[in-house]
Amino acid sequence: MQRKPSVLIVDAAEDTREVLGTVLQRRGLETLWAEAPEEALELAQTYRPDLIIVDLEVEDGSAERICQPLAQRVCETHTPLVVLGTLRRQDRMFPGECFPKPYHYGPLIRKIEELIQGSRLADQPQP
Amino acid sequence: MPSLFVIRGNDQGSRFELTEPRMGIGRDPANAIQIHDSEVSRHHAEIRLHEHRHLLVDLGSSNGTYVNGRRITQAELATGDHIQIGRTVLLYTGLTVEPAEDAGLTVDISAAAAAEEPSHILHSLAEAEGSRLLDPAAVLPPNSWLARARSNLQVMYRTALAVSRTLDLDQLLQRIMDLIFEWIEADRGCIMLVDPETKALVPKVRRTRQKIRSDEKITISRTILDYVMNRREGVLTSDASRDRRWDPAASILQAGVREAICVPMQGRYDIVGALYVDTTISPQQILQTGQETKFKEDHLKLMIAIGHQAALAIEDTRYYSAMVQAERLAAIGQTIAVLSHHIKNILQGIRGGSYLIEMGLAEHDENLIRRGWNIVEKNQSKISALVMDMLTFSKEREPDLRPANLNRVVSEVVELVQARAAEMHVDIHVQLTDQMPEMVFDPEGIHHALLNVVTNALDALADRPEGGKVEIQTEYDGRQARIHVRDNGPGIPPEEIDNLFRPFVSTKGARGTGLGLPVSQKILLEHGGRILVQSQPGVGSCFTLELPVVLPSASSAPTTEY
Repeated sequence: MQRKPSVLIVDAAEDTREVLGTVLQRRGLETLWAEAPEEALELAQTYRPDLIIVDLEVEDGSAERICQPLAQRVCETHTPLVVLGTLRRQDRMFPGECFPKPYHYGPLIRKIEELIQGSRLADQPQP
Repeated sequence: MPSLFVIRGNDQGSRFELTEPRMGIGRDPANAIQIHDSEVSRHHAEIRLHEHRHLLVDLGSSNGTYVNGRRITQAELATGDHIQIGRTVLLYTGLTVEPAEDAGLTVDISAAAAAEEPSHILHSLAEAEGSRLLDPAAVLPPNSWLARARSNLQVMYRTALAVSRTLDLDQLLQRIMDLIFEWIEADRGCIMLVDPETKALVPKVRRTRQKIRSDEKITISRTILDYVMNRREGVLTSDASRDRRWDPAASILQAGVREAICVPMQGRYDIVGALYVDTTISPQQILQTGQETKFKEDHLKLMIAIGHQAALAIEDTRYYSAMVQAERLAAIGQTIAVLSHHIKNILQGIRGGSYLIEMGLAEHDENLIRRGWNIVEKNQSKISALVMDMLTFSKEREPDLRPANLNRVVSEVVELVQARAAEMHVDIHVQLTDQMPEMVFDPEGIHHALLNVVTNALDALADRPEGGKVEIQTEYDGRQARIHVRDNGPGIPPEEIDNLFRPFVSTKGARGTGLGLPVSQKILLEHGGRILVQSQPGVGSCFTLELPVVLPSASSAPTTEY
């Protein structure tokens, strides 16, 4: 039996994590939570999630620096990525879909499902 | 407008215009000049206008009034005086006695062709040459006119610097003109400044010696001005032609001789303008004294030196204004960026909550609706707290002073945070002194200030799974009432202590707005109190809210000290 698709959510805001967690779980996805990018990298290596969601809009601006290893991992493994917040030009290292704040959940959820489906199809062993 | 400018203390940057004939200085809000400094008496001193001069009178203050470091009971103020009361220092800028003339109307820069020029240059002197006058090593005959002038120039530069603090360029130019007239026997003078945009010389200040008072326009030849500006040399000119000068019978004796000095104002970086003075020697004077010239090379040297010093002072004033303006704009930009960030996150929370409610409604899941609603409510209170903090921080608000009990305020705050503390397994320990009398203060303000400090204490314990403790203690010693808030959190690194009270600097990430402590501090300052911080990394922090004691009876008798 195939395991449940999993999503790793990297976001410091409690509210976002609660809402996304609830909604995605109800859609049959497994959610992993990380508060900091370092923690996220560990989780990504251990659990190999099908999708990563990262909140990049943090105050001190250090997010890009810390996120870099994560971005590299995303590129290497071709894990689809969703970025919450606005990417500045110099942060184009993130190959993900961007949702500037304040975003609506409807389109975000649709995008997540779409990306997961795509990644699932790509992962299926060729006959 | 004469003014007091606070250059040190809690009110640093405030400017008080001396508009009234009597203006009180003190901690009490009834004073026209209210100083938020606990070492300043309630009614500390008074500024009185007396025959166009300002008198500073000490009103029997506890800690005394000082002018330029000397304790005074009464003193006449001069521009540039430093007034110290408590820990606050104010800079006095006085009245301008001479009324300013509108220079634009009375000064003409004549574009007449060189051929028609009645005046010609007798002497010219490079700018650097004149500056050498100010070199302390320059050997000048003691008691000579130039030696005296030089010592006064030092005073002038200091004065000019003091004046430049007021950011009032016009006042500075007036003072420069005063100094020129003090040292050079000119009849008329004017200062022209280079317009930073058009690069054209614009007349700014014109002065005529009182006994001469004429409405005649000052006409300055373009040729001479160009010579001065382009070659950066000061010139001494005379309209007495060389030929005529040796012929006393000629027109000199009919029209007299007009002499002028025009010098560049060379600053550190560029020429900021030019100084011009002239004098007319009447035929009678020439006959009486036998002298046809009043201006000598020494005058030219002095003018060049004054020009250089004046230019430095003008540059200082301009750079200071530009810097203040740039800082203001940067601060506004930063403020908007930080606020937008918080508001965006709050909106995001509300959208999330709404989405859960929507889902709950569609699926008839009441639990989901409740969870969504909790998120919406939480963000609603976040945004109202943010707005309240913003208002408190931005407004020049008057504390709503009335008799109240500080212990009661503490109890109310503790009650408010009790639920959250229990959720976090933090033990709140309250110890209220029974010595606390009824005092006059703004109970809502202090409530707000204390709530912010206690909330911070709880936030500091957020990462501690158990054993978190907040101690709140009140204390009264007759002069001050204090509330100590101690936590056993991680403490504050020494390098972050200075940033604690700076707005929008938060170490709490998305949780903090960075407004809490600045708002608390502002409220305490409005009461003449303060917030003290002690912290030891790894041990915990203690914030003390210190409030000067005002007893209900004392507040109606304003002269009583404590």
